[in-house]
Amino acid sequence: METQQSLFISSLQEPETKEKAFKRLVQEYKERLYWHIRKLVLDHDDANDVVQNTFIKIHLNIDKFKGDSSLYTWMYRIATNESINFINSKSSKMGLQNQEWIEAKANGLKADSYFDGDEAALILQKIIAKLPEKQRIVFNMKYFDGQTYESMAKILDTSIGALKASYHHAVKKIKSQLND
Amino acid sequence: MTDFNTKNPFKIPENYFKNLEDSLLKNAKSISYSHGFTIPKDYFNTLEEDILHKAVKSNSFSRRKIALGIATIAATLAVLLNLSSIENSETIIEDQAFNDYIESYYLDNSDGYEIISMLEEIDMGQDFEDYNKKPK
Repeated sequence: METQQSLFISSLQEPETKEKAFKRLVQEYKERLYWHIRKLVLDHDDANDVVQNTFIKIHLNIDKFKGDSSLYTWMYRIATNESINFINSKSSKMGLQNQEWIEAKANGLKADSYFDGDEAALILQKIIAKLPEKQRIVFNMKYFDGQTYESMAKILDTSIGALKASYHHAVKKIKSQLND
Repeated sequence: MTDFNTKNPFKIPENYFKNLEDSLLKNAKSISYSHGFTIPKDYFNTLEEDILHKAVKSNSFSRRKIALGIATIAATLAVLLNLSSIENSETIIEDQAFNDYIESYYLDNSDGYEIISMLEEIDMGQDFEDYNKKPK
């Protein structure tokens, strides 16, 4: 498995095979990365911008990838950072805090043509938007994507204990908001 | 024991495994998409094309950026070198003008003996030695 991955990484780094290997990479990961990003930025057009930037960054920086982590972890980390940077830039342009910007996006979901969730899904998204950034990311990755703490720890470069605490706090806050 | 048939006695509904696969995939899909977000039709096909197109573009752009960077450095160095050579040539011109002025002053105001007396003996000796050398 490891050999397979290192072979694939080599083909991504070799100029002769790079384009073909990159196409395979896009085919393999486009949906997973898109959905990860989409749950962080909420809007489809924004997610489209971020996922494209993420893959461009992967393409430009693949030569610098040293294989210290798995390719999947490295790409998820880029996608997460790109999403956070995107939110930072959008919210600062509007003179808002990141959380205020996300809350505004969540409040607009009902009118979004690319959101068909029921009332419960809408309420859940509005509550998730109120969570602090880290808890929001951890909750999305664990609850919707079913990621393991081990995998999340590698992606977010955080300890498993800290992630468990974040998820626990997030669930507690969501439950209390749902009961109100 | 040998009387027992080893054949599997359990039966399943017709097309069970095909339907199971479909229902499992459907469930898996509904679990991962239960957040309510949807995407435009054929989005992932166009996304792939967009990414590949942009990746090629950004690659050539970054190459152009490097080339432009090198060209800028080269141009800056060329300008700096030119400036220093202009300064140097100005110094040379100034030195030469001063020497010409001194030379013409002494030539106008001194006779041959006075000029010779200003030269040191060693210089003169060397000059005469040069003249004394026999041609090979």
